Amino acid sequence: MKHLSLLTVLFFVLSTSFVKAQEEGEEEEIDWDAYGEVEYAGGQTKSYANAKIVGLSPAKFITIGYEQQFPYDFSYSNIEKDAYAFDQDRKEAIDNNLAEEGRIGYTGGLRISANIPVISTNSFIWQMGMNYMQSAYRFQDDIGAEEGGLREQLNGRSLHTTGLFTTLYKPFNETTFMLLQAQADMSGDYSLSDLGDQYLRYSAAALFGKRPHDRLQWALGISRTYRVGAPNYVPIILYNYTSQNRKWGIEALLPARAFYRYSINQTNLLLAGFELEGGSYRIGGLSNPTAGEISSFEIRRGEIKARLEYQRRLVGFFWWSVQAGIRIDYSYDADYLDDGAETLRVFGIAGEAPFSMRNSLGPAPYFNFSISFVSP
Amino acid sequence: MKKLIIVLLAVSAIYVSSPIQAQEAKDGDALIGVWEPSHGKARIKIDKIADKYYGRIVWLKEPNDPETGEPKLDKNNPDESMHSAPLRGYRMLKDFEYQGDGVWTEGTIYDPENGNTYSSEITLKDDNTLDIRGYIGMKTFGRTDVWKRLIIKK
Repeated sequence: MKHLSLLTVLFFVLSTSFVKAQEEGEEEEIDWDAYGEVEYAGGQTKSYANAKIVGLSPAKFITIGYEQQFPYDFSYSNIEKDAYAFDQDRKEAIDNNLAEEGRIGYTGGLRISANIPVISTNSFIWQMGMNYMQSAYRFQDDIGAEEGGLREQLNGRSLHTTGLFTTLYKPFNETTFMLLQAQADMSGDYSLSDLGDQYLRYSAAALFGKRPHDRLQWALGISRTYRVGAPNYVPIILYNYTSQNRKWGIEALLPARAFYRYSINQTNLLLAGFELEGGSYRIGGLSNPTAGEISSFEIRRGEIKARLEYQRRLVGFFWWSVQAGIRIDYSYDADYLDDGAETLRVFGIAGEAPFSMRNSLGPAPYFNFSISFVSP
Repeated sequence: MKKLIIVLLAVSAIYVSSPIQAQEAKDGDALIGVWEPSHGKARIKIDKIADKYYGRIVWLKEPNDPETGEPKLDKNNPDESMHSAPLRGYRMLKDFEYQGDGVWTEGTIYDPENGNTYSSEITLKDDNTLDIRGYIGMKTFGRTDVWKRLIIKK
């Protein structure tokens, strides 16, 4: 009986050791060359261009962040419908029609985004996402404030952008792909009780490109964008590159953003470059200026953010990121849109709509801190 | 004698499968073989060890590191002790358990390109085609690749 028990124990031990040895790879010699000559049992699978290249900064599924600009000067002109010619110098227009000037002590707020894969296969990717961006304003003093002016509209309040977007990525073969994106944003000083399609703005992009190898991806396309404030139709260039040693690279979607990337290691990286950010923000209190008139007062906000960014893995697939840089004003002018009809001002090529307000913001240092759930 | 019978029955219960379990094990073994991911840059041999399935890289389209000219190593692995391990032979699929209906779960897939290990689920689409999904946390946050079965000529 004792012998039988010992045999049983021995059997268990030997079985466990065999599994362990297999897991650790201590198995029979493998003829590696044999795997070089093969046939496809059910036909060869088709290869498709991957949506990413190696070495890119992690793609963000969900991000929660906070951004703040340090104090800066501002000057606002009088508001007068279509009073300022497209080609009039901004500074001259403001100097001759100055309404308010001073210093804004605080601009900042929450930033949340989510980008969720609906379908994600090697031959097709469909993602849906949302983003929310808040810019709350606090002015440093009330000297020279105009009753009902833009300062009064903004002080202590927030501009919001809430958007929904969808992205389609379709590779046609191993190197060629198409990328489509459409977005609907509600931008303005709305509150939850004051939502409406008068705040809705649409943008879209279409790109066609190549991925010659694992370290390079480029594409050309066209975009309807509000990044410069007013709607614009611009050619766009996607360019992502990683060096052979994977230590550095370029991540660019011109003219929206371009960054030089330096990978300290697999979980630490630095990005240096710029991003163009903006939107058209409807200000409810300045819209419908005359009783019965349907008009929308829109701040055409466009700003260039030159920055240095450090990204680091926090734990698992969670990363944190800190950005520091300068926010440079590109546009903070405003338009009156009759019946919500958009103006066209495609760099003066396809439209020369006059402005209804000219504004200027001084440069401001800023920082951004965020935590993301990522796909490295 | 009575004790002897009890011990024999216990051992039998562990090591002798019922006919249903045997059939399930046979179905699960459909995963065993050599497979090629859609990118065609590697071939993976899947074996069964105990009751689980494991896959190791047995062939690389580009076996040598273009920088060093030496066989590629697992240099992106977050575990630095693995940086000198050759990629060929690396066990990139681990711990898959057959759940029936041509589905294997509870496994992980390692991506040598970035050193990340993802949760994974494998579905047998037909005898020679696998859908293999790597994901983070929830299956939503993932990507599915198509693998094809290979027949070794030699």
